[in-house]
Amino acid sequence: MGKVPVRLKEVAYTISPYHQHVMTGLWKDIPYKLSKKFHENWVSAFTLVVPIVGTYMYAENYREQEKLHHRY
Amino acid sequence: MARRLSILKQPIFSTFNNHLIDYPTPSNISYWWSFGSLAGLCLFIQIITGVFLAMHYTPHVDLAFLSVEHIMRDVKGGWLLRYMHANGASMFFIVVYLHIFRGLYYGSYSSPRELVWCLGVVILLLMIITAFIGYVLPWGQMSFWGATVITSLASAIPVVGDTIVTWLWGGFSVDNATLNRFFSLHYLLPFIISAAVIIHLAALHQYGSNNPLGINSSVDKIAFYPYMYVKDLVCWVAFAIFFSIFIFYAPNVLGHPDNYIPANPMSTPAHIVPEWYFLPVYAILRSIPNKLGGVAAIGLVFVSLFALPFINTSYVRSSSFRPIHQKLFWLLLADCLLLGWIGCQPVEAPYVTIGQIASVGFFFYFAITPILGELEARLIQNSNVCEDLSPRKLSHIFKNSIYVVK
Repeated sequence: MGKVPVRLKEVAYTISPYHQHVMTGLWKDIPYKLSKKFHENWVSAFTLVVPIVGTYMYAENYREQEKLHHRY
Repeated sequence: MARRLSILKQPIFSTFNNHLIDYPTPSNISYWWSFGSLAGLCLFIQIITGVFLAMHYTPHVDLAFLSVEHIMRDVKGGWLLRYMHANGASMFFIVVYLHIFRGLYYGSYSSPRELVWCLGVVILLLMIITAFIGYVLPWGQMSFWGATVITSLASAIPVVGDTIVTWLWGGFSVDNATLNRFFSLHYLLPFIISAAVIIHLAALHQYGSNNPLGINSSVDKIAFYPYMYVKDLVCWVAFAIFFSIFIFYAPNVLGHPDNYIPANPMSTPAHIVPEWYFLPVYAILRSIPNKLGGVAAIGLVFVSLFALPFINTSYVRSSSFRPIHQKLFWLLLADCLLLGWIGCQPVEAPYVTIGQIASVGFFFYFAITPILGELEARLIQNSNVCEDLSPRKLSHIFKNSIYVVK
């Protein structure tokens, strides 16, 4: 009693009734998808990057000012 | 009859089948959920490479450094084993940190998965201890002085502090007894971590995995095999490439050059810096001028992590539907990265002030968590969307329904 072979279409259906077209158009409308991603996430990216870059620039500027202060 | 005799229905095999083959998984989980299995892979790599390294390593102060050099030069494939083990620790922490931040973003810690989260924090603590004592074993300058600085922190504990330090060292300084016990514990702890991981998994499978929507996914689940195996395999291959770049092209980039100098108790390095994965916690420790205060702050980091599921009052799990928490999450991530950067800077202006502000920022996230849930609930109630709903009903909708109220 071996396993009854299952047709690929049936296997694909069992993945999920809600996710049937995930891979079919992966590269379709890629510029639109990228711009959508950007518009959805730019505030989050901003919240992550600005404190890091801002603090780093502040520290570098502080050290530079300190160096100049000791120089003159 | 044939079905009843299936091997997958026999004891032990049925457990494997229920948890690793037929385990129902939400169909919508993303690649962020692969970091759990990746952490398991890292643990496996660390144990295997560690067992083989232990065959050639000598835990004695006169021979430890030389035995590591012997592994690198004379043992066949020894360099690969050692670089895999040393960089594997870093990879393990990268994967685990991403796993933790995924849990934070998608609210995987919230009810009913509190136990899963707390066990995860226990695993993180055990990992930190294991990694710390493992870094002492090569007996280089950073090993010796790192061990001296960190174990001395226990002396900040009032009354019994000095006794604890002597007990930890097995003498009056970091010496052969310390190295021996650290080697013994470094061999033992990964197996305790493995046991904790099994309990972590068992607790997870009690209620099932969370998903990016943070809602009940009972209506749409798929078998772990083959779908999640394939999905995890994609991440494993990507991880293998990333890991290989470090092993073969930059094996020492994550380490400290001073650890290639044999330990010398008579010569203190200019900067004693822990491994990169300890830097955020180290920055919090240093940001408090008082020794006991610094140790208490480290304790508070882990207390905050343990308490998170119990202080969370949000009715919604996923940050995709929590705009305020989403911003706070990214600020917390930025804060942790800043703390990591501050941890390897000298103790001078402006780094001290930045470290102190970043430390306050870290605890601010946990302090605001209880208020945030209430604030979000009020915003939802005031938005004319579901003004008739009580907080209890809202909680029910968000956690048990497959639809989000619009």
